[in-house]
This record gives sequence, C-alpha cells and structure tokens, in this order.
Amino acid sequence: MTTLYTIFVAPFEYNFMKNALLVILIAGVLAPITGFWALNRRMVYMMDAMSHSILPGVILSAMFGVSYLYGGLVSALALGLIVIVLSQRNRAPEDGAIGVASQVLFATGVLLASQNTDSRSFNHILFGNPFSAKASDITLMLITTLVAISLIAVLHRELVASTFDHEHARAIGVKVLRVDLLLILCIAATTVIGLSSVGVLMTISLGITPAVTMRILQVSFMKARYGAVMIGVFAGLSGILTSYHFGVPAGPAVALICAAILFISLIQKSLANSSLTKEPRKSLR
Amino acid sequence: MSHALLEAHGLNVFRGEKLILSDLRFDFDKGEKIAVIGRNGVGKTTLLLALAGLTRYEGELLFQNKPCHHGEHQQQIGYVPQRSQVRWDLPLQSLDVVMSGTAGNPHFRGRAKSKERLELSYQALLEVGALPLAKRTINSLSGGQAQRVLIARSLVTSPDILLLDEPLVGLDTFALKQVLDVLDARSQMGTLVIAAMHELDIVKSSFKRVIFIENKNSVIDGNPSEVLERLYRAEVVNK
Repeated sequence: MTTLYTIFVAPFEYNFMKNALLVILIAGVLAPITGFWALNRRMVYMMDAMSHSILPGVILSAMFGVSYLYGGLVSALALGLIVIVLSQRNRAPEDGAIGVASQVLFATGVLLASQNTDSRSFNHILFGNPFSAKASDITLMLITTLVAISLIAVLHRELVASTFDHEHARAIGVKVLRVDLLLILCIAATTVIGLSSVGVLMTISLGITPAVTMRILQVSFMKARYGAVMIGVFAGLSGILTSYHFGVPAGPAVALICAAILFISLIQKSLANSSLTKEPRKSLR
Repeated sequence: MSHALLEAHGLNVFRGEKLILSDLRFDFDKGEKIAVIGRNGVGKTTLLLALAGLTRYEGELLFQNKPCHHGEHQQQIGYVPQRSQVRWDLPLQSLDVVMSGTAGNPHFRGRAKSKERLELSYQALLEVGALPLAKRTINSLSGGQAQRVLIARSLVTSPDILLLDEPLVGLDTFALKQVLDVLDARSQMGTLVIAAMHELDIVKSSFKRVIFIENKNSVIDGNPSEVLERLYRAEVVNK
C-alpha cells in the first residue's frame, strides 16, 4: 500500500507535479482527438510538419519575452497559409508544399535558435518539460484546448461527411475548405500545446499513435475517438510518473509508452486472429 | 411556361478551364429515368458534376423554372458518385455514412435534430433494402451493398433529383437488380433519376430516355432504340 502511494500519489504533493499533471491531461485529451482526424483525413504529414514549423515563432516569443504559445500558434498558421497558397493557388502538390514550407520555417527557427537561445531551453522545446509549466501557460492551454475540442465537436458531421467522400460533401453544401482550415487550426493548437508538455518532436506520437492503435484494433470510427483519448491520458500520466521516478525526459517517455500500447495491441490482434483461424479447423475435425 | 423540373438552354460545361460540353439543351420532368451514355472520358461524369453544382458551367440551368443556384438547391439534388471515389477503408458504420448525407443541410443542424437525422437515415436504409446493414462497418460490405448505402445517403434528404455516376459497375446480377429496383421505386415516387451508364443492354431494357454524348458538340436525346442505333452507327464510322 505504501509503495503504491509512493509511486502514484506522493509525487503529486509537489506543485510542479500538479502543474505537470494538468499539462499532460490537457495534451493527453487534445492530441489524440486532433490526431484521430489527422490520421483519417490523411493529414499526418501536415501534423508532423507543423511540429517542425512552430520553431521560429517559439524562438521569437522567447526573444520578446512572451508566451511560447502565441509565437508557436502564429508559426503554425503561417505553415497552413503557405501550404494553401502553394497548393490551392499555384497547383503545387500538397505534400510537396508541406515539405517546402515546413523546412523553410524549421531552418529559420534553427538559425534564430543558434543566435539567441541557450541549448537548455532549445531542449525543452524539442523534448518537452511539463514540470516547468507556469499557471498562466496552463490557463492559456486549457482555453485553447476547450476552443479546439468545441470546434471539432461542432464540425463533427461535416468532418465525417468530407472525410468519407469530400466531393459528395461539397455537393450537399459542406464547406470542405473551411473544414480543412479549421482542422489545421486545431492541429496547430495541439502542436503548440504539445510543445510545453511532450515537446514538438513527440507531439506527433501522442496525437497519432493512439489513433493508429484504434485502427489496428478495428474499433468503430465513433468509439475510436474515446479510445484514443483514453490511451493519450494513460500514456501522459504514466510518462510523467516514469520521468519523475527514473529521471528521464517526459516527452520521450510518453512517446515510448504510446508505442508500447500500440505494440501490445498488435500482439493482441495477432493472437485474436490466430485463434479465429484455428477454430474452423477444430470444427472440421 | 415549361413544367420541366430541370432545364438547360445553351449550357457550356467546364472541367477546370477546359470546355467539356458545349451548348447543351434539355428539359427533364419529374419521375423521368434517364441514362447518360457515351465513351469513357467524353463528359458523362462532368455533366453530372455540373448538375450537382460541382463544376463550372455557363448558360442557363433552370430548376422548377428558376435559375439553379446550387447553394439553395443543394438539398433537392442527391448525388451518388462512383463507388471507387470514396474512403471504404474507414471503420465507419453504414448508418454513419447515411447520416453524413445530412451534414450540409442547415435544417438538421444541432443536437435537437439528432433524433430526426437518425430516423430519416434508418428510413433511407429501409427504402434501399439495407436496414440489416445499418451497424455493419463499410469495409465489410459487398459492391451491391455499398452501392445501396451510397444511394441511401443521397435519399436521406428526400431529393427531387437523383444523379448517379456508373451505379451498376462491378455488380453481380442480383445486386444489379436490387439497385435498379430502388431507382424504379424512386422514379415512381416522382424523383427525376439521371444515371451515367455503360451497360447498354440494361439501358435498353430499363430506361425510357437516353442522352448519348457523342462528343463535345454532339449530344443526342431520345428513346433507347433510336439513340442506341445512332451509337452503333457512330462506332462503325469510328472503326
């Protein structure tokens, strides 16, 4: 009993752990929801590119002493805008446009970082540090998350219609481009929130891995969102506890726990499949 | 004043900037069942897309004697694309797909309308004989079942016009008959059914009016025997 208390409860007596818990819960809920839609709408590359592209905004925020969240959000929106200009207005292939835009923004960020930021805060950006979150950041993250989740909930029918068949969705009056833009905005918000929790490089893991796990387990579309959130929250909580007890960075810990859950689901699926293929043979005998 | 449900006068249809069909003239009545035939790439799909408001056109297109503004008339036009164009890999249930047919309609917006959306979706599935498929995931459906679910999605808003792009491609005889029965029933209820088709034997036996798109400037409109004779003659000349 004492051991369980020491592992699961005692760490949260510290204020920095309480803050980390809030940050990871916020990211653990939002990232799998946006990741679910990014996966199903084939926007995973966009989500990955977004995580690289927010760097210049974050560095500039640090230079001007404002919250990372503002700069990150502006950078992420700049990526969305450049991609739309290149692909919709100038007919560049969309994945090519994403590749070009994200690399330009990432390179700008690295240049700015090399001039202005110490390597420790650069590490926090890349790999995350939920333990250093301030109350003002948490409030901003919470508001951003509530707005993003509400937006996705309001757009649910339009998202389903245009994910399944975007041409038919247009025919029945769904503004598909507007839906895409709003989803990109939510992905941008997720990436920026991931920055303070699991780091920009690990946000994609927290967003996409739970959604991929649900696809492997063939959970129905509507239930998969809740399953993905449960995995995200569980991985987030386990990640910060692992980080606290073993002194490892929280971001990679969360990412690896997500990957471990995916691996377990693969084993479970293959076991289920093999038992299914064995059953008819038994009945034939 | 004409009593046609849908009329075109001097309609030019484009795909991007390219002119695909020129100076189209037709009038379609309620309850008609019309097959659109022609070679691959001649513009059958583009014509349906124009009628569904999905590609640019110039000229006059009238719906119930009023200019057809697709924003306003979207709910009166049901569009069933080719089966290959949609995401069958998603773990959606048939019922989710049918319900998604209400997505663009402001009437169905909000949580208060969720019961109505659900009831109409079940009704549409019942109409196409696919009620037992409601909870089946779409990636487990056969071609005929999938086609009926797509038709149900378009019927959920009770459209006056039903546009179908190659609805019978890849279907076995049984599935084919089920889909044709649904189109017949709809037509008898007064819905204008327009289908792009390749199956000329079925066109001859099941449709009373055929639009043959010979090329950009030549569209022949008539009964199946006349039009098909013209088509065979055109094929002989082309050979």
